[in-house]
Parts: sequence; structure tokens; C-alpha cells
Amino acid sequence: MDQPDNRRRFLARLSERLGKSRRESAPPPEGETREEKLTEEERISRFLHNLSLLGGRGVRIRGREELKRRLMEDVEGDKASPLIFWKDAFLEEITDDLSNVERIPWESGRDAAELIRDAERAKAGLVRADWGVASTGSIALIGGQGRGRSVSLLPPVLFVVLNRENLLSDTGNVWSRFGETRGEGVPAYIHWITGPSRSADIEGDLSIGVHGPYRVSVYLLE
Amino acid sequence: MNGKSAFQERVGKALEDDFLRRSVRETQDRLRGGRVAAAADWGDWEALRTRGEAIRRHTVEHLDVYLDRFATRVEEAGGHIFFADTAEDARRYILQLAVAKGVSSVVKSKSMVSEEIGLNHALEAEGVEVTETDLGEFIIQLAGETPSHIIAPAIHKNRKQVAELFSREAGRTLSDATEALTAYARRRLREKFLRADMGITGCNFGVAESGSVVLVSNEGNARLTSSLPRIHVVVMGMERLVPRWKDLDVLLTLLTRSATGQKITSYVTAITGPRRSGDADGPEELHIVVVDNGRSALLGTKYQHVLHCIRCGACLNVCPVYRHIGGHAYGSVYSGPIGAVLTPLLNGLEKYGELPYASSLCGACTEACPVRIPLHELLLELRRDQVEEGLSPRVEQMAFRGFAWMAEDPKRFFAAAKLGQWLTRPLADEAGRLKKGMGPLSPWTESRDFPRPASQAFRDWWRREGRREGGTDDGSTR
Repeated sequence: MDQPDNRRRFLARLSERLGKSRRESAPPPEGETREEKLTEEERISRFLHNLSLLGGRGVRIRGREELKRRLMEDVEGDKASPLIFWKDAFLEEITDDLSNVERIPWESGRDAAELIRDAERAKAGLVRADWGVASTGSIALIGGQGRGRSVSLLPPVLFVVLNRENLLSDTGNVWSRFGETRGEGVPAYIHWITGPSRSADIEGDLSIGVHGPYRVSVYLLE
Repeated sequence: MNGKSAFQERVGKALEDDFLRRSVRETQDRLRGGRVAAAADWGDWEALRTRGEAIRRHTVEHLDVYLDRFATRVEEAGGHIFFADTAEDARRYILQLAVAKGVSSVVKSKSMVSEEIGLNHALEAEGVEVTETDLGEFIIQLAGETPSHIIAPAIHKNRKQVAELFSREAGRTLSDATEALTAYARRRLREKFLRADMGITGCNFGVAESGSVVLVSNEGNARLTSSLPRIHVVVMGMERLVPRWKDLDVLLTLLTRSATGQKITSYVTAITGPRRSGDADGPEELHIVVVDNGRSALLGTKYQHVLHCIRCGACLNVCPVYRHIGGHAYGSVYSGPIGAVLTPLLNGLEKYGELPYASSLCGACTEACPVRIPLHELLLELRRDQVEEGLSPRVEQMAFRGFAWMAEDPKRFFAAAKLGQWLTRPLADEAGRLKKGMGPLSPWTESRDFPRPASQAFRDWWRREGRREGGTDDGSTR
């Protein structure tokens, strides 16, 4: 299949239809960008509110010890064993004390199929958010070593740790970090997650957890 | 009169389906209410719409430039891109890929363009198992039907029907409670995800500056489809681009708020290339198929605007005609006002000439459209084209010639009004409305009532009463 040829012909047809003997580019239209000046407290309360609108649970946590305690309670409450988590020194540490819980780190070196099977049988996943967004209640995760996509996707329960300083006001604050980049400069995935998986496809009746996690808890670490 | 057209048959069927009509009303009201509240919550919604329109206009005006840039970036990130002139080219590329890579099962997340190109049938004909994974799409796939709403494809199915379909699939009887049905679908579809060789998704937006594909979903099936199988195929309409990430931000805000009233969907996924070295999941191969299939013929014409559409479904949710007849009556993948414009443009007025008339021209669609596509004006343009091409029905041509002859002369006009009053008297009900017209009136009364001409003509009333209370003939008041 001669793809370059097929691309050239396709694009030439478009240029011709558009009535130009070109291709000349022009700058996209600019507009007012909304820059809301929120205090940190406002960002936090807005984040928690918006997250709750889509059925997610947000908890403010002061310090690492409280996080460990809270996680232990929730893991117990949700019977979240096995627990699969991103390979990350911080997550290793906070899960270290979980007794009677099968802990599975997402080790990139392991067999891929086996890792996915582990994520499938895990009762919960644990990840660290790169950013949180106050205006929508979302967390954003980006791809990289040890950061499997399946961890936040396959288990029925998802725990997310979000550092307070990574909580931004608006979705635009996150998108604008990926300017024009070539090749592998943009991560392979950027996943935004806002609350649990949901559907209203049966008589408009809301149901939770149709494909992804049915419970999402975000620990906002201060 | 000749027999009913296929369109009229479908409308007739829809009008007799009480569940469908109630369900469409409820869905419309829920989604429209959500959109209105989300727009109010945003504040300067009109400014955002104007910005969205400007971005879409600019992108489509420079589509050759942005597609070129997009393709280059996709390849730099390790993806493959194929440009398909026709639906057949797109199907052939994906089929060849499936055969070459030994694909035996495919999972799909909701994609209108893959419906448009008839992808499922083509794959199934080659013996490839295809599973739709959006809950609504899974339901209608089991029923062997097509979507009846852009974002809520199975609103025409009630829970009993869903329970029957799922029970047949499961080989045992399932309860019709939503949780039970959802839990079954989760388990069943998870098995399919885990063993599929290929995942096929649509594309809500492509970001030209980085070659990224952006998918939105509430269920998370688009994430599963794009994460688990070893091959990910993206089918995208060629106009689905935005220049930059910051333009994406504007259009995503418009899309989710207009579609369901959510500030954001549960999942938004941006994918750039296949898995990187060291990644243990994510597809090994990413193929993006850019589909023309009639779209480029609209560039440079008065219909270019229709390519600005971001497929939110807001126009369906305000349309009084869609409210009565639902999505299937349109007889094509795209329904509602956008379908009434797009379908005849992509597939020809000869076959879909009735669709531009499936509108009251009230303009609610134009007002709801987040990127300000003048939908009702485009419907009028299509009607004009139809008349100019001599494609309007002969009866209608004769009727308008007759009307011109009658209206040219006051005496003839007056006589006709009297005649209408006298002729319709025996047909009207107590409220004075015609439920069953005859002759040329019958197509109208098949699906709605017709008001009987008033017993007193306006001209008679005016002669007796009007001049006393109103103004004089020269316009001055007494």
C-alpha cells in the first residue's frame, strides 16, 4: 500500500476544493482565556465539590501518616486485596504497612500479559495523580515507566493520591503543558478521570461501574 | 396518490410506538435540561460558542494544512496513518490489517463514522467477531439494530427488552433491574476486552500539533478498547481536528456541556502513538484511518459549515420533529437536524430528499448548536436545491403552480377560500381539526392534524368589522 501517495492525493483534493493553490497555514483564532484567580482553599473546595457531582469521593489528608491510616481503613472497608499500584517509591512506602493485603507493584520488566491478569484479579488500584483540576473535579494521569494503564482501569475500586500543589484551577492549565511537541515528547497517554464509570443507557437510569471502577477515592495530600 | 415512501413508513411505525415516544421525550428533556444548566453555570456561554465556531471554521478552512501536520506527527510518534477516499477504502484497509495480523476478535467503542462506513458487517463477513462495548451499542448489536440517538443509542429499547436480549446471550434468565443488567454486561464485555486482538474506536478530536487522538466516554469502554488489545485502530472523519491543545480545551468544554450537561465526562483520554518502550500495556500498533467518504465535496460550497459539527447531539435534544419520530425514522446513521442536513449531502438528495422536510424550521437546532451551525438555514438551502434540480415531487410542483394561479387574482383567491371551507366540513372533528385528509392532504394528516379553514374568512370579517375598530385605509387613526 503506497501510503505517501495516497496522502498526497487526498490532501491535494482538499486544497483544490478549498480554492487555494497552496497549502498555506494561518494562525488559529485567539480568544479570551478565562484565568480565574482562585486561592488555594477555593481550589480545594471547588475540586471536592465537582468531584462529588460525578459521584467521586474526595478526602483531605494531612501528612503521610494520616494517609497511611486512611488508606488502611479504606482497603479494609472495600476488601481491597489484591491491591495493584504503580511502581513508585512513595506508593511502595505508604502501602508498606498493609498487613494481610496482597500488594502487586506494576513492574515494567514483568511479562505484560501476566501484569494485565494481575490487574484484572486485583480488587483495587492505587496511582498518583500528576494533576488535579478544580473546575471539573478531575485527576489527570500521564504515561511513563511503571505507570500501567490497567491499574486505574481494571479493578473495581480506584485510590488516587493527589498532592495539593498539583491541584490546578482549570482544564486549560493542564492541556497547555503539552505545546507543540514532536515524536514522543507528548506522553503516550493522558488520562483524565472524573469519578466512577457511569452509564445511562438502560431507560436513562444511572448505573455506576459499567466498565471502569465503581468507586473512586481521591486523597488530597496537604 | 401513490403508496407511502420508506420514510413515511418509518415515521408511521415510530408514531405508533408509545414507549419510543415517551422515552425520546424523557431523554430529550434530561439532556436538554443538562445543557441549559451547564451553559448557565459557565457564564459567558455565547462568547464560548463564538470562540468554538471560530476554531471550527478556521480548522475546516485550513483542513489540508492541519491534516498534513497531524499525519506527520502521528508518524513521528510511531503510529500509522491511512487516508481513505471512500467507505470502501477504509473498510479494505482495516480488513487487510485484520487478516495480515491474524485478528479473530475485535472490540469497538461507540463510533458514528464506523457505522457510516458499515465496518461491522465487513469484518463479520470475513469471520472476525466484532463486539460493541458501549452499553447502549451492545444492546442494539444484540438486537441487530442501529443507534437511534448520537449519544444515547438505545433509547428506543425498554428494560424488559434489554433483559430478554441479555438473557438470550447469557443462556439464563436475568432480572430486568438496571444493576443486574449492568453487572452482566460488565462481566461479559470484560471477557471480550481481555481476549480481543484489535480495538476500534472513533475519534472525538485529533490534535494537529502533536498527532494525538482524544476520546471521551462516561463508561470507560473507550479506555479499555484503546488500552488492552495489541492493535488499536482509530476511524476518524477527516474534519475531526483541532489545531492545538488549547483549542481542544474550548471544544471539549462545549462538547461535554452540550451533550449531557457535564462539565467533563468521566473519562477523557488523549493517545499519542502506540505504547512506548518499557510500557507493559497499551497497543503495540496504532493505525489511524482518516475518512473522506463524500465530505471533501462539501468544502468550498455553501454547506461547508456542516463539517464544523462536533457530534454532541444537542440539536436532536431540542428538535420537535425528532421528539415525535425518534432516530430510526431518518433512515440513516445520523438523525435529528444534523442528520437531516448531513445525510442528503453525503448520500444524495435522490435517496434522502425527504429529510430536509423533516423539520419545522423553528430554528431551535441552530440556537442549541455549540458551534453555531445554521442548521435550519442549511435545511432551507437543501429544499431550494431540490426544487432547482427538479427533484421535488410532481404533486408539489403542480400544487405550487395551482396556488400561483389562484393567488394571482383576488376573485379566484376568495372563491378558493370558500371552497376549502365547504369541502372540509364533512371531514372535521368537533374541535374543527382534520384528522384524516383526502387527496393531496392525506400525507400531512397521516402524522398530524390539520386545522380546518375558519368558518368565516378573514376577508369577510374585515369587510364587516375590521374597518370600524382599526385604522382607515390610508393608515391614519380616527
